Parts: sequence; structure tokens; C-alpha cells
Amino acid sequence: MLPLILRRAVEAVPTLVLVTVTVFLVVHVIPGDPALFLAGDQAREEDVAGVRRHLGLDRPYHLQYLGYLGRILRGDLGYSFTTRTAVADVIAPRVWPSVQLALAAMTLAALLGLATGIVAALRPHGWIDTVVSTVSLLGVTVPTFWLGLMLMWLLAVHWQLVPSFGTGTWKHVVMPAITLGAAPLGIIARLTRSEMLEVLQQDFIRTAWAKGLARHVVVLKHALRNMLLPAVNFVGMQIGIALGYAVVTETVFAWPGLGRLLIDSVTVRDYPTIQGLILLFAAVFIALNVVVDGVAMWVDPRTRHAG
Amino acid sequence: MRRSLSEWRRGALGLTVLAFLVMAGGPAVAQAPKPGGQANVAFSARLETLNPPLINTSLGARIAQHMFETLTTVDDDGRVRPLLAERWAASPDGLTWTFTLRRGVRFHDGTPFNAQAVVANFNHVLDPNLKYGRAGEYPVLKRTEAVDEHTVRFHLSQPWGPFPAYLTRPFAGAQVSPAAIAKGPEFLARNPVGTGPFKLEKFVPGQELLVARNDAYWGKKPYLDRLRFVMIPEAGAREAALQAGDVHLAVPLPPQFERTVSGNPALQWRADRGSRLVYVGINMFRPEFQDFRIRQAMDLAIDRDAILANFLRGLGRKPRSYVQSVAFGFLPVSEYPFDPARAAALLKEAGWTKGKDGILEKAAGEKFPQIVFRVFQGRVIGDLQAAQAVAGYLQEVGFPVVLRQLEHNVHFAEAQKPENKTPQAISQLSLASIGNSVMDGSHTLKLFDFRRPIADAAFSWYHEQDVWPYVDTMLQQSDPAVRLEAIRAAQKLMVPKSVWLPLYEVDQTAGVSKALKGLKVGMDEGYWLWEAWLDK
Amino acid sequence: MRLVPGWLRRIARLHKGVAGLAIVAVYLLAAVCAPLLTPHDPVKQNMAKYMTPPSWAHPLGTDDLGRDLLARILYGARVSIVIAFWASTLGLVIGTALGLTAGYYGGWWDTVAMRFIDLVLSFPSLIVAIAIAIVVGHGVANVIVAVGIYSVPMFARLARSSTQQVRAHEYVVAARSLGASDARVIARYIFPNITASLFVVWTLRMGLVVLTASTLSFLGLGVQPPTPEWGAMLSTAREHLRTSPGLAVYPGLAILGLAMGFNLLGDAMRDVLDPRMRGRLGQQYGVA
Repeated sequence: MLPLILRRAVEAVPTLVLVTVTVFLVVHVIPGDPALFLAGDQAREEDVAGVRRHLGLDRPYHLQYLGYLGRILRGDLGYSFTTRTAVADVIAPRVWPSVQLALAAMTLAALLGLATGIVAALRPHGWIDTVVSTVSLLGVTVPTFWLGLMLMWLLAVHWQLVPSFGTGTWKHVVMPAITLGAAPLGIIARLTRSEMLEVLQQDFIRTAWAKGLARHVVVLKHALRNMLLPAVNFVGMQIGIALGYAVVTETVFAWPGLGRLLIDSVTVRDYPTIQGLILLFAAVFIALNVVVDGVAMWVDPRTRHAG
Repeated sequence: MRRSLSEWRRGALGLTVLAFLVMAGGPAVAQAPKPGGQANVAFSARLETLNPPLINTSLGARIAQHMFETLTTVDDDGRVRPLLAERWAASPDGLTWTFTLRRGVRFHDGTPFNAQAVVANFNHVLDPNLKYGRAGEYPVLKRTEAVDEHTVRFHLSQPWGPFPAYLTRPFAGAQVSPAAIAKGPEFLARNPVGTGPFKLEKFVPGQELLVARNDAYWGKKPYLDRLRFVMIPEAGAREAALQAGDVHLAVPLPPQFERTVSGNPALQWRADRGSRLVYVGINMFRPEFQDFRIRQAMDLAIDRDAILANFLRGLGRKPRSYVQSVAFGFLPVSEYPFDPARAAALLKEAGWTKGKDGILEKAAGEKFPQIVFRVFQGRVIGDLQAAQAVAGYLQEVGFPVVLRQLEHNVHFAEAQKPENKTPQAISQLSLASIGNSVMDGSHTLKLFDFRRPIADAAFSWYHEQDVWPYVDTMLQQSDPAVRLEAIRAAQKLMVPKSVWLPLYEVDQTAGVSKALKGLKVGMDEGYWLWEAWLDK
Repeated sequence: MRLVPGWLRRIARLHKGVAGLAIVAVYLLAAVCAPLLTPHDPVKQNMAKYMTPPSWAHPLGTDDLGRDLLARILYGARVSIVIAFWASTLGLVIGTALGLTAGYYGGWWDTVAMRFIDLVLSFPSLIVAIAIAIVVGHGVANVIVAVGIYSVPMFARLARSSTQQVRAHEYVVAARSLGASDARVIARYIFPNITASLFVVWTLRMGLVVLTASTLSFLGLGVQPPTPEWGAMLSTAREHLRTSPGLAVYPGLAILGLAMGFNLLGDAMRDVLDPRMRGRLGQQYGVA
């Protein structure tokens, strides 16, 4: 299995190179001027030009890109325009809060989603099923930011159950995790439900029942084992989406993560930081996909040759 | 156990007397500042670095000014006062300024504050190798010289009257320890070594700043042990934090929170006069804007009272000039009345009448060119809403205005484009705002001097020469009486031309916990907690 | 007499199909009949009526520029439906073109096209939409472009795998070996067999497009003021959440409702038109 993962990783390299090109192009195509922003409102034209020269922004694009690529290969993400410190130093302290939020949200979504999906499938069209289906549909369709704002007002201000900002304890993570996890939860619940329904209708299940095995034994041993692979797939898919919506969640809750850094960097046109962040997102995303595929292959060797 | 009625009455009387005593003596007792404690502040600006030339927001700079100090400071009357410098004087030709520094001051790392330190600071900010871009703050500063331990001499290429006022701006004027400067920008970003009443304890860029009292401070030591500044970009979240008791001060808070903050007995709403003027710049290169009657009509068509009453909930001031009402030299030139009828009459005089489709047209059928009104959102309270209102008012009298909302950075960059200085520029209005940290009328009026174009002037590019003599006087003379004359004359000249359409001067609004006392609020977003204390 | 096509009848038999159809129909009706349903202009401001609470004249109250909130929500339906329709269709057209040709012809074109798709898919989806929106700027047309392009990869992938499946069928192989031209094979065999699943995804996608477009507006990247768009309304409302929560609640509910309607409808369509897609491979197309 390891060689397979390695092969996927190697296949991802050209994609990553293309990613750097794309990121570079996109960032430079965005209208706006970082040099102007840095020079301030009292700046004369020569001040702005000086800053531009100092940041290397007046060189032709291909030279800038090659310089950028060369630095990346050496592991150097460049220097942030706004702080004149290494981009890696700007990004590093924000990685853990983002990971923390993503883990919390996805754990919540995965556990609750899988659990409710399975329970709903066990009694289709019953009242549990209806509740689960409705709530999961709501989770998918409610706008993330709206949910965040409502939660903040309700839990932090009105009922004062959790602090309104900050990080550190599980109480701080609750609201952002629910906000970010709502959509993945809904999707995982629905997918799990329909997959579980299919599994339950398969012959070997009926055979087990016919043999007289207790229902919960059947469910636990046989059905769940067949759910493992799909579950891994569902959760894996959702993590990537969650990374994107983390941007909105972090903005609403002032969560000091990578998503907020991205928005802030874009506002001030801090090209090196933007490039570093998007590259990081893409690399993580690709790595996640490789890992999820690897886990899927490990769980169910049959998929190894499919797709 | 039963008591007799008279016993109850005596008890009640005693209690009442006691209550009166407490209340009479109460205020006196409660007013003595209690040392100790940590105050928490929620603010909106993004603070990524503590290297003063790289701080990009006023609010961020004010927070940094709890750790850094400048040579001079401005008080609420607009007068320049000594801070790290004790006194100063200009040479007769105005090209040399000599400052005498305060003695006995040390930076947080123990390095003494002296003339050599000041020289190191100015050389650092203006260093051509670092290209901080803040060199534009002191365009005429040629050289800084340490005459002796406590005397600094600034050599200018041109006389500059308001020079001491500009030294109050922290971006280029904050004094940083030379030992820290020597360690370079990477060190400076996270290590603010200043002379101020607080020193760094912990800084998490983009998230929070924790500072502790500087017990070696040369001036009056703060009461608070610690100050924690937390960055919360969402106004609703800041207010939530204040309501929940997680912070003692939430700044800024938009006007609509006045009701909820005032409704909480533990909180207090603060509205203080600010120095930020929001205005609409008219691109003076466009042919259709050359006729001053057209511009005046625009001025008359806008109902500023309604804007103030509605978006700002009265928390602002109607402008009277192009200079903020709190700045030195302010002259209330215009009432800025709302008179759409007179606007229509002026337009008619200029040959434009409102056509059947509601758009101004000339008798021959030529229509008024479409005007792009560039606006941004979220920089100043009420900006986008006021802009939408203005667009509506202008459309009412027939101007074909179309809004173009841009990110602030893009908006700024659009205005700088060279083609805006030609008649072929897109017909445009620009929303803009300008503060006045130096509290001097020249700060806004110098934008009309086309010989000294700076970024902020790009929203209107007024290029006539009639204002130049006044600008020269106000910038180069140091005698306040002479400068005052020039500033006033410039206003009398420019305001009737309606080159700018001032909209409002915004108040600074915030929410404070009643437990936080001693908060000092200065204009240009100065929320100072140097003398604050917690009453618990 | 087949006035109503069979598939529509079968959809209607499912509860969620009915619900979805009904909801979408209500929104469509609101959008089309907006001028009849409200006498107010959604764009014209009126300072005197700043943030008034609900009343007979203004059932949901007025916003911060004195405009009737109900009117803005009703007219906002037009904006949202237009964006949803055109963005999905743009994604569908470009995606199908890419995917079908890649799946049919294979070879180097397949590799190139799929590399490109993989590239776009290597970024979290919302980031892609944000990036495009920043580059193209504000405005309804630009939002359509941004969200449309962001939808292309899914359509492309689906079109490609469906095309490959159909192409492998015996009758297609036979037709090609008999000398039928590519154009004829595509038109007669491939296309009709992939439309069903494409149609399903197209419908499901519209729900997601509504959410994404409103998120972009919320972040300040969407339509230009004074266009009534629900996400933009939420952006203004977030500051007034405590004082006038209605400004946030109603547009939020509107977004929720429309997204839900499309979701239910798409779900029902999938169950009816393409049961094969009910499995996990199919579910992913609608929700990312």
C-alpha cells in the first residue's frame, strides 16, 4: 500500500507546480497596489515607486515568478510586505488554531453525522428519520455566516454560556466548530443514511436475519463494516470544503486562523503571504486527498484497482 | 421575634442616616484611583507588526503609542505640547529646527534616550535601503544631527512651519531604542522597545497584544498592571464581548449600538468629537465639472442633516469647511444648506435641465455624461450608506450617477491612475475620508497644491494656481498668526468653489464598561489608557 | 394524453419532489410578480423611514436607507434566481464541453483537460470563487462568471465519466465500427444518455450557487449596491443584528428557503431519473 501512496504523491507534484503558477498569476492579476498601501496616504509618487522597486514589483512577471519558484524550492516563502518578516513566521502561529477548528468541526460533523445517519436508516420514514433529514438539510442550506452570527448572539451574549471571543479552551471552540461543522454534518448524515439503507437491503443482511441473529448484532457487525469505506470517503470529501468555509467562520468569530489571515492579506495585497497561504491550502488539500484515498484502499482492497 | 413599631422606626432612621453618610462620602471615596488589575480592550484594526513605520491604521498606531512616544504631542485644543522634547525653536530662515530633549528618559531595554537615539530613529525611517515609504511624512527633512547629548538639530530643504505638529505622528515620529533598530526589521516587528508607560509582555500578531506597566517610566506611572488589546474585526462581535463582560472597552462601535450599550446599566456609550472628515472628491480635470455652478448644484442637492440624523444617529457633525472643526485655523465658511430648488436653478443657468428620463440634458439634446461614483465600505462609519444616499440625492436633481463599490485598496489605486489627470479620465466622483492627527488646517488644504501631489490628493486633483501662495505661507511660516491668516484665506477661497463635497465629520463612538475609569479620548482615534484604572 | 411528462409525474409522487417544486415555484412566482406583490421600489431610498419596525405599510419594516425590506427580498429573488440559473448553466455548458470531449476522444486532450480540472479542484472550492470574484470585480454578471467557473469542475468530471460509460456500451461500439461520424455518435448516443444525470446535478448545483453567491456578497465581493441581493443585505445587517435582527433574519431565511427548494427538487430528480446516482459517487456532485 505504501508504494501506492507514494505513487499518488509523486503524481501530485506536477499539479503542485501548476498550482504555484496559478497562484502567482491570480495574485498579480488582482487589481490594487500593495506599494501604494504600504507607502501611506502622505506618499508622493517617488515614495510609492521606491517601495515598489524595493519589493521587486517592477521587474517583469516571468522574472518575478522564477525568483518565487526558486525560493519555494529552497523552502523560503518570502517576506511579507506588511511586516517585513518571513511569511513562514506569519503563517506558523495560525496553523494550530485552524487545525484545532477544523478538527473540532469535522469530529463533530463526522461523529454526529455518521451516528444520526445510521440511526435514521434503521427506521426509514419514521419520526427520527424525518427529524434527521430535516436538520441535515437545514445544515446544508443555512448560510454559514448567518448561523455564526445567530449562534454568537444566542450563546455568548444572551445566555452567556461561552466566551464571545478568544481561543484556548473547548468553550471557545464550540461556536465556531458548530458553525463550520453544520454543513458537513448535514451532508455526512444524508450520505450515511442513503448508503446505510442500501447496505441494509443487501442479501447477506437478510441472510443473517433469516438465520435468527439479533438485529443489533447484525447491524453492528456486518452493516457497519460495510459502511467504513463510504464513511471515510464522505468525511474526506467534506474536509476540503470545510477548509474553504473556514474563511467565513473565522471572520465572524475573530478566530486567529489561516482563513482570516487570507482575507486580511488580500485586503492589503500582501502578495507573498497570499501566495504562501494558497500554496499551503492546496498542498494540504492534495495531501488530504492522497491520505483519504490511501485509507480507503487500506480499508477495502477492492477499490485499489478501481477508478 | 416581634419588635415594637418604634424600634422599627428607629432602625429605619438609622439606616437612612447611614445611607446618606455613605452616599455623601461615597463619591469622594470612589474617585481615588485604585491601582492594579488588567483592562481588556476589543478593537477593530488589524495589527500585524509593532514596527511603527509599518503600522497602517490610526487605531493600530494609537495602541502602539501606549509603548512608544514621540517628541511632541497635540492636546485637544490643537496646540503642540512637549513630550520627549522639552522645547524647540526654528532658525530665522526656517531651515533649521533645534529641539532640546527631556533628560532622564530610558527605553524599555535600558538604553538611554538621547540625541543620538533620535538621529538613529530618523535615519532608520528615512533609510533608502529599507524603503519604508513613510519617508513621505517628512519630505523636506534633509538631515538630523545630534549637537550634544540632549540637543537635536533638524536640517530642512525648505521652511516648514507645522514641522513640530508633524512630529506627533507616530508612524515616522515614534522613538524606538537604537539597540532594537540595529537588530533590523524582523526584530522590530515583534519587539516594540519604546519609552512609553507600558511595555510589551506578549504579542500575537493579528490576534492580541498584552502590555504591562513600565515601572521605570519617566512620567506618571499608570495605575493598571496590564492592558490587553484583542483584535475583533466584527462590530457585532466586539459589542457582544463588551456585553458579556469579556472586555472593558470596545472601539469603535457603530452608532446603532448606542441603544443596546446604553440599555445595559453596567455600560456607557461614548461619543467624542473626532477629526475625520468624510467627503466626495470631484475630479477637476473633467470638462463637465469645470463650471462651478454644476459643482455648487451638487453641494446644494445633498441633505447633510438627513444623513447625519439617519446613518450617524446624530453622532457626527455637519461640516462647515474643508478643514475639520477641531483643527487649527478652522473657519466656518459655509452652512451647506439643502436646497434642491436652487440647485435646479443653478443647473438651468448653466444650460442643463432635467429631461423626461430624469437625466440632465442641454437644450440641444446632449445628455450629461454618466458619472461613476467610486465608493468603499467599512473604512469609516456610515461610509457606504452615506454614499448611497448622496448618489440618490444627486440622481434626484438629474445627475446620472452610478455607484461603483470597490475594495478600499483598489479604490485608492484607481484614483492614482495617471489618466485621471487628463480630461479623458472617466467622469468620476470619489468617496474619501481624511483625518487630521496634526490638528492643523494645512493638513487638508495642502491637498489642493498641485505642485506637491501626494496620494491623498488624487480624489480631486485641483490644479489651479490661486491657492499656491496661501499653501506656501501656511507650510513655510512658523509664526502662528501669519499661518492662521493664510489658512483662513485659503478656506475662503476654496470652499465656495465646491471642489469637495464635504459630507460629515464623524464622531468617535465606543462602548465602555462603567468599571473602567480614567479613559482619555483624543481625536483621530486616540483611546488612551495611560491613566485608566478599574473600579471593582 | 401526456401533457405532463412522465418524469415530472414520478417526481411529484415523491414528497420531497412536491415540496421542492412547490418552494421553487413560490420563489419564481415572487420573482416574476414582485411588482404586483409590493408597491414599493426596492432601490429608491427614503431617509425619513430609516429602520422602521414592521407596520401595515411595511410588513417587514425598512432598512438602513429607508427601503422596504419585503420589497428588497422579493426583488432579490430575481437577482438570486438569475444568478443561480446562469451560473449553473455556464458551469454546465463549459463543463460538459470539456468533460464530454475529454471522455470521448481521450488521449492528450483528456490529460490536459483533466489536469486543468484537477488544478482547480486542488483548492478549497470557496477560495476559488473568492479568487475569481476578486479578479473580475463586482456586479451581477461578474458574480455569474465567478460562481459559474467555480462550478465547471464538477460538471466536467461528471460529463467525462458518464461519457466514458456510455461510450463503452455495445451499441455505441457497434455504431462507431460501422463508420458513424463522431458528431453523429455524440449527438445520437452519448448526449441523450448523459443529460439525465447532468440535469440532476444542474438543479442541485443551483442551491449551492445561491449560497456561494450570497457568501461572496457577504464578504463584500458580490453585486454592486443598490442591487437587492440577499447576501449583500446580510452584510449590512450584521452590524444591526442586535438592534434590528429582522434585517438579518429575513434575507437569511430567504437564502435558506431557495437553497432548500433546489436541494429537495434535485434530490427527487436524482431518485427518479438516475437511481444509479443514489450511491456515494453520485451524491458528491451536488454538494461541493
